[in-house]
Amino acid sequence: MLFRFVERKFWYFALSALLIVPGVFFLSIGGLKPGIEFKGGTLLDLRFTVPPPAAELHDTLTSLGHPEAVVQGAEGGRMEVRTLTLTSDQTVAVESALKAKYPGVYLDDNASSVSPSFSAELVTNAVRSIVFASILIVLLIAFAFKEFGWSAFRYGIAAIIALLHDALVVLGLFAILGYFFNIEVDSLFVTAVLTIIGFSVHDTIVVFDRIRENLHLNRGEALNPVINYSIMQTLARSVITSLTVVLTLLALYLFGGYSMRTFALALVVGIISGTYSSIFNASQIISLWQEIEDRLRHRGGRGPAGARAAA
Amino acid sequence: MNRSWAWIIAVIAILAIWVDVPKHQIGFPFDCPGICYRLGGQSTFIEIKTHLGLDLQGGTQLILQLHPEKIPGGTTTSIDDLNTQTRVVIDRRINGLGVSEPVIESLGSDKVLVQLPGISDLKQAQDLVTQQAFLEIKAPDVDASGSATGTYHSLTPPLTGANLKPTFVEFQGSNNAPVVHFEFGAPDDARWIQLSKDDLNKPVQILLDGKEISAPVIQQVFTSGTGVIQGNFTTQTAKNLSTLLNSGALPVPLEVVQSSRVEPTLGQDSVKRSLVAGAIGLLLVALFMILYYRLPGVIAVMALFFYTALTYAVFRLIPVTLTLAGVAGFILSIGMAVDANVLTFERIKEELRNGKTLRVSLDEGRRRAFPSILYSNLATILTALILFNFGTGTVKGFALTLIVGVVVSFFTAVFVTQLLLHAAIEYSSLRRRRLWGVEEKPAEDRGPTDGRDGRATARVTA
Repeated sequence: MLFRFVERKFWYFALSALLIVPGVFFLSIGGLKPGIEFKGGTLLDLRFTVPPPAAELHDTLTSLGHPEAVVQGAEGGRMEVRTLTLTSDQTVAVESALKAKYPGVYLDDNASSVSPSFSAELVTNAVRSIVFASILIVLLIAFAFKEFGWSAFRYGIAAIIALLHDALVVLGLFAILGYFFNIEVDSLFVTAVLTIIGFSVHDTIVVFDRIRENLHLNRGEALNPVINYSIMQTLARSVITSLTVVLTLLALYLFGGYSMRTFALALVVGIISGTYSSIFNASQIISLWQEIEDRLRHRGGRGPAGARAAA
Repeated sequence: MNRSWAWIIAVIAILAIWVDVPKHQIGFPFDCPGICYRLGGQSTFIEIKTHLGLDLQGGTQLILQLHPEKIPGGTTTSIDDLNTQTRVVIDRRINGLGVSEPVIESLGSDKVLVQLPGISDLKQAQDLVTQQAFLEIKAPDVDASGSATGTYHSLTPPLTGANLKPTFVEFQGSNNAPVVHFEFGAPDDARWIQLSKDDLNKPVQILLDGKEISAPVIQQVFTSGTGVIQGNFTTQTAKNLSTLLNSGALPVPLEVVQSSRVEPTLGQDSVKRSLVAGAIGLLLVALFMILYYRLPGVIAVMALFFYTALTYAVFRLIPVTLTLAGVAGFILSIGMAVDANVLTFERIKEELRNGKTLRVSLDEGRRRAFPSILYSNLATILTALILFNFGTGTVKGFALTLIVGVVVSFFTAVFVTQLLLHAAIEYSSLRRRRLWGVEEKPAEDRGPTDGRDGRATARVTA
């Protein structure tokens, strides 16, 4: 029994588009909300007689309309709270609401504005590095698949398209979450996206390497059936590997601390997307490429179509 | 795989565990919390400990007040610009110190907030961020006869450290005393050479923040803008001075108005819960591997223990400051370590189902899984290296742990797992096919084999 991975490729592309297009829409209307680390805000230096746990204070601030608040305990019953920029009226409102809940709390000093602790440079540098790394990955894959000649480059490019797919799924999701629920992105989110990119390429290369090996063993075989059973053979491994990573992350999401939730969520979504794209997108792009090339060649009247593998 | 590999891996494992164990719990047999040795009068001491970042461990917080009114001669630079420049200089100094991923923010426009991960020596932290580090070289005053009077005067304009190329520590003389090597950039290098011509055989004074560090006598005419600062340094103080000079002088005097210990930015309780969650996750992975792959699964879990011990040891030795971003890199590399094993085991199963013997299957499985493992790991290392080079802050930390993790995972999957697999098949009781996750008898109906065995096995797998 063979699952028809290649023949139904347009369905899989459509599903990916369905996931990505809304995300890209919300990205383009500025749905991705930069957090305090990037924007700066207001620092409240609170003094408690008995300081509450950081998680509890965070929940309290969330109910006061400041879900972005970052709480950090300090010695001497102090808690430092970073929020987005507050007007003095808002500061007074937060202080009095906290006083009602925690008797004896007071705001030491005045609230002061804090600058971003991470510059936009962090993001632009990371993006630049990824572009550079992508070019090198194309070259690396082309080298690994050099027996295919120029066709080797399409494997590299397909791997990068799959990488973009996974990055866009996660960026899009957080743009939507940012638009509707004001969920913000911080430096950890940047790290999560980088992790996803690393995983995506890793996953895709394993599938491609199986295609390479099978094409080598079955010379003269058409490309599409080879892709089909290559995916079939790596399916167990793809699922198991992702499962082990998702298992760890799910534990972190469900049982971990509140401050790690978004981070774990981004990773879980990205890893699942990475597995999907390596099974249902990456190889299908190779197949599509070959079909387009065959059609063009057929039209040009040069040799029979579709009979040869990419080699 | 020969016997010497087994010994090498065993030694690495023991060393890794020795590095991993907190030294304050066992001093014996080495009464020193780290690596200590004494060779011909030189002793070295490297403390081994886990460096945790601000987000996981907390650290020291300093609030610094800018005092632009104390700048000699006043200033025309705006307070906001001074604040930005101050933060740049402090950032460079802290990175030079090796403490990773500090938080440096402006607080209003006249204060700077600095958080350093886990620095216990508050005095050292305060000195590091408040020292002005203004280097000046003064020429000797001369009396009528042309000999030095012992007092010095500034050149016009003053010859300062504003134009220095990166300095470094070197060791000089018979007693290998540490000195700081410096080099002036243009146009100060020409003035430095001119100074050596004007004041040959007389002392010049080298001052840091108005205090004399040394007053060496110029013994020859310089040919380049280089020189050294001697000053009864220890290796550490020489390094500190070099870091300060390389980071540039602070544009404005600073005063510490508040210093305190702070909790992890991710919250103490949150970090604790997440550690437990991570442990649960890893336990689930181990359980799954054993249930699904049987004997190879057990071997993979053993290899993963080796992997974790070795990676953690490398983190402690380099040292790598672990932040949550770093932990993400670590989790990703664990995933890749598992993946390398899964790839190999799936191949071994395929070979076994094709009726090959256990020994042949192990070798074939490794040989055929190798390109996938190699190229996927290479792609990850490539990306991580680029991120490490061009990245800043969190991204750099993530990249470093990822590089270490992937390199160790590659080593583990290729050498340790193979070694254990081959060791296992030495025991006849461990050679039962069921233990390796395939049915006792090879499948009768295997279909066409040579050249098309890929498709045939696909059918069996499905």
